[in-house]
Amino acid sequence: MFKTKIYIYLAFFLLAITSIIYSCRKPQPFDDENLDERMSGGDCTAFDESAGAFGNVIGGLSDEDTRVHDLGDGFFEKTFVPVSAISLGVGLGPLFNQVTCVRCHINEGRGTPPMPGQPYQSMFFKLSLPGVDDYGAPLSVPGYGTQLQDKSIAGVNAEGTMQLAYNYFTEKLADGTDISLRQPVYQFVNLYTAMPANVLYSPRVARPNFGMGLIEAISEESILSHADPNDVNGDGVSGRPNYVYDYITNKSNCLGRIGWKAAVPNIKNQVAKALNEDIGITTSIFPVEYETTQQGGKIELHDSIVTALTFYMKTLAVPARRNVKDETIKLGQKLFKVSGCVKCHVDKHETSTDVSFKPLSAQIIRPYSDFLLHDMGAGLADGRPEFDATGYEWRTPPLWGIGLTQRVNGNTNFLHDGRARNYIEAIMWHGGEAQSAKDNFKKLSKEERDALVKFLDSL
Amino acid sequence: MKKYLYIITLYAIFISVSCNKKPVVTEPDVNKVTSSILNDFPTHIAEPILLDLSNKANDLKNAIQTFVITSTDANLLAAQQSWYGTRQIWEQSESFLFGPVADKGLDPSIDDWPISYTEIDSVLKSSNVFSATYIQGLNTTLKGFHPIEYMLFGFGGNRKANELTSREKDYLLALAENLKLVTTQMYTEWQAQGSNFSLQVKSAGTVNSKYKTRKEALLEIANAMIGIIGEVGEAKIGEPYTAMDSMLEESPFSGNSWKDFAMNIKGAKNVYLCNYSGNGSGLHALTELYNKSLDLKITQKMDAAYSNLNAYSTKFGKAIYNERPAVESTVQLLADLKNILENELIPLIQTYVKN
Repeated sequence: MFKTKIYIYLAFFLLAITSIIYSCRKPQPFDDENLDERMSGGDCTAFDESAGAFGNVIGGLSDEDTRVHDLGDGFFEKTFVPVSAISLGVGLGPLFNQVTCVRCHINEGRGTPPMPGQPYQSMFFKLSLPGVDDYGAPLSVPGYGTQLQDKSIAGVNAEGTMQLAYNYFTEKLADGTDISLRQPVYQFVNLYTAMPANVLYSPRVARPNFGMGLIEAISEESILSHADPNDVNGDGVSGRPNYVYDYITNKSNCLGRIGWKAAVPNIKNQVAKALNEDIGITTSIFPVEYETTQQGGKIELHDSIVTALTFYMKTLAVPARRNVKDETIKLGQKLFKVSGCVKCHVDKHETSTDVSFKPLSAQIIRPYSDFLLHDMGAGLADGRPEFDATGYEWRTPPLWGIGLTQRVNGNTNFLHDGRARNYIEAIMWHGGEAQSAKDNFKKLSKEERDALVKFLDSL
Repeated sequence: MKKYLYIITLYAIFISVSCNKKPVVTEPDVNKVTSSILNDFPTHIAEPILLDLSNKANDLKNAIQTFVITSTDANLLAAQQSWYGTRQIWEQSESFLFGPVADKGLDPSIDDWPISYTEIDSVLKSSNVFSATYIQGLNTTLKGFHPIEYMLFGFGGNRKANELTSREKDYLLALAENLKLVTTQMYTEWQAQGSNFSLQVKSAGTVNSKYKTRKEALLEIANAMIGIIGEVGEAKIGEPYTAMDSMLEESPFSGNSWKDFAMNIKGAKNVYLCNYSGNGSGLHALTELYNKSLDLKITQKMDAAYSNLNAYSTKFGKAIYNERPAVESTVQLLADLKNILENELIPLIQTYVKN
C-alpha cells in the first residue's frame, strides 16, 4: 500500500515537473530551415505562374471583404471618360496620363518606357522646382503642378510630353564580357506654355501592385531597425527613412513606404493621388482638379469607392517563388547574399499582429527590400528631391515577383525609368552605396552570374 | 479433370480481369500531347482567327468606304452587317488575350468601353484632319469598335444614311482604317515578320521562348480561356446586371451584346478543343488523357453556356431589368463553368505536366 502511494506521488511529481518545463517554454519563431521559401507573401501567397500572377486575391477574406475587393477590382479596370450622361458626374481629366488604372499597371504589373517616338502609356514624369511647399513636398511648377500630364480630353491642350532617346555604351565585366547599357535622354516637347529653366523632373514607370497590404503591415519599428543613416556599422550602406506628408490625416513626418522614392505613406494616399494626378479624378482627399482652369472643388469619386480601390490593392497576393530547391538557384541565392545585395534587398520581414484583419497579420514575408532610401550614385540620380529623399536616393524596390515580369508584362525593363533591359543591366546601373555589390557581381564567373540571374528569375 | 480445367480457367480470367488496371499514362504520352497542343494552338487557333479578324476589318473598311461614297440606307446596312461580322471574330479572339495584344497594349485601341460621347462631339466640331497619325494619337475611348458602332447604328440602333454628316463619315472611315491597321498588327505580331509570337508558344520549354516550361505556356492558354469566361459572367453581364444600369452595356447601339458574349464562349471552346481552322490538339486532349468525365463536363458546360446566351430574344439592355432570374441563372452558369476550369482543369495541368 505504502509502495503504491509512493508511485502515485512520484507520478504526480514527474507530471508537475514536465508541465512546469513546458509551460515555461515561450513560443519561438520558426527558424529559416522550417520556412517554405516559396511563400514569398506568407499566407498571402498565390501559386500562379500565368500572366495573371499579380492579380490574385489573398486567401482568408470574408464574403463581404471579397465583395469589396471585387468592387475595387472593377474600378481599377474601369475606363473613365469625360463628364457626360453616362459618367455619373465622374469625369476623366481634363488633363491626365491614362484613362484607367489598369492601362499603366497592366495585369497589375510593371509599366515600361515607350519605343522612342511613341506615346507614353505606362510611364510619366514628376516635375518640381527647387524647394519645398508647406507640406515638405516638392515645389509645384506654375502651370504644370508636380506631374507632366501628356494627355487631355478633346478641346483642352495637354501639357506636353518628353522626347525620348538613348545613348548606348558598354561596360566590361572582370572576365572581359561587354555589357551594353542604354542611358535615356529626355527633352520636353510640345509644351503648352513655357517651362521654367530650373525645372526638375523624374521619370517613373508604373510599379506592380501586389503585396502592398503586407508592406503596409510591417511595423515602422521593424523598417527602422534596418536604417543606418550615418553608416555606423561602416559597411558602406546607410538606409534612410523618408518622412513624408499624409494627406488623409494631415500629418507630417509619416514614414514613407510606397513609390520609387518612398514618398507616399500608405495605399490610400497612393490611390487618391493617382486618381487625381494620373487620371484627373477628384476625391475628398484631393478635391481640386489637377492644374487646370476647370477647377471646381467637386468631389467626383465617393469615399466608398476610394476605400474599395484601396482595399483591392491591399489584398492582392504575392506570387510564389518557383524551383526553390534547384541547386543552381540555391547557388545564386548564396551569391546574392555574399555579394552584398541583401544589405538593401533585405529578404525577410514579419508583419505586425493585427487581430482586426487577420489575413495580413503576423506573416513572414520575403519582399527583398528594406523599404529605405539609398544613394544609388550619379548614373541613376534624377536630381529631384522628394521630401527627405535626395536627388541621388531611391527606395530599395521589392524584388518579389520580379521573375514573372516577362510573363505578366511581356518585357523585362527594370529600374525607375525602364532603362535596364534585363537583370544584369539593372545590376550594372547600381552605384553609390550599391557600388561594392555591383563590383562583387562584376567579378563573378559566367556560371555564377547565370546562377544569380536564375535566382532572381525564381522570385 | 475437365471440371478442374474449367475452374482454373475461370479463376485465371477472374484474376486477370480484377488485376486489369487503368492504362498508365507515361511521360512520353504527356509530352507528345502537350507538344501537339502548343504546336497546334498558333496554327489552328491564333493565326487563323487573327487573319480572319484582319480580313473582316478590311471588309468593314471597304463597306464603310462604299457607304461614304454612296450614302444609301442599303450601303449603311451593308456596313452594319460587316461590323457584326468583324465583331464576331474579335469576340472569339478574346479567348486568348495574351501575347502581343496584351504586351503591346493593342486591346484598348480596338475595344475600349465606354466611349466618350462628349469628346467625339469635340473631335467632330474641330477642324482637325482625320489622318492615320491623328487617329492613332486619339484616346482609346474615341476609336475602335464602339465609336464605329455608335456612328453606324446611333442611339437605339435606328440610324438612317442621311443622318450622318460628311464630317461624321470622314471620322467613321478613318476609324475603320485604324481598326484594320491595328488588327493587322495583331496578326503580324504572331508571324515571323513581326515578333513571331507563334514561335514563343511552339518552342515553350526551350531558350527560344519566354515560357521556360511547356506547363507555363499551357497554363497561359488555359488561364486566358478562363479569363474571358470570368469576364463575361462577372463583368460584361454581371456589372450591368448588379448595378441595374444599361449604360454599362458594352454593345448597346447595335444590340449585339448577347451575340458578343456567345462568341466569347465559342472562342473559349475553340481554344479548349482547338478546332477553329481544322482540328488540332487542344487542352481537351490532355484532359481526356487523365479524366474523361471532366473533359465531358467541360464541353457540356461550354455548350450549355453558349446555348443559353444564344437563347435570349430580349435585348441585353432590357433583360437586365425585365428578365432578372434568367440573367442571374446565366451568370451562375458561367460561374460554374469558371469554377470547374479553375478548380479541376488547372490542377490537372499543374499535376500531370511536369515540364
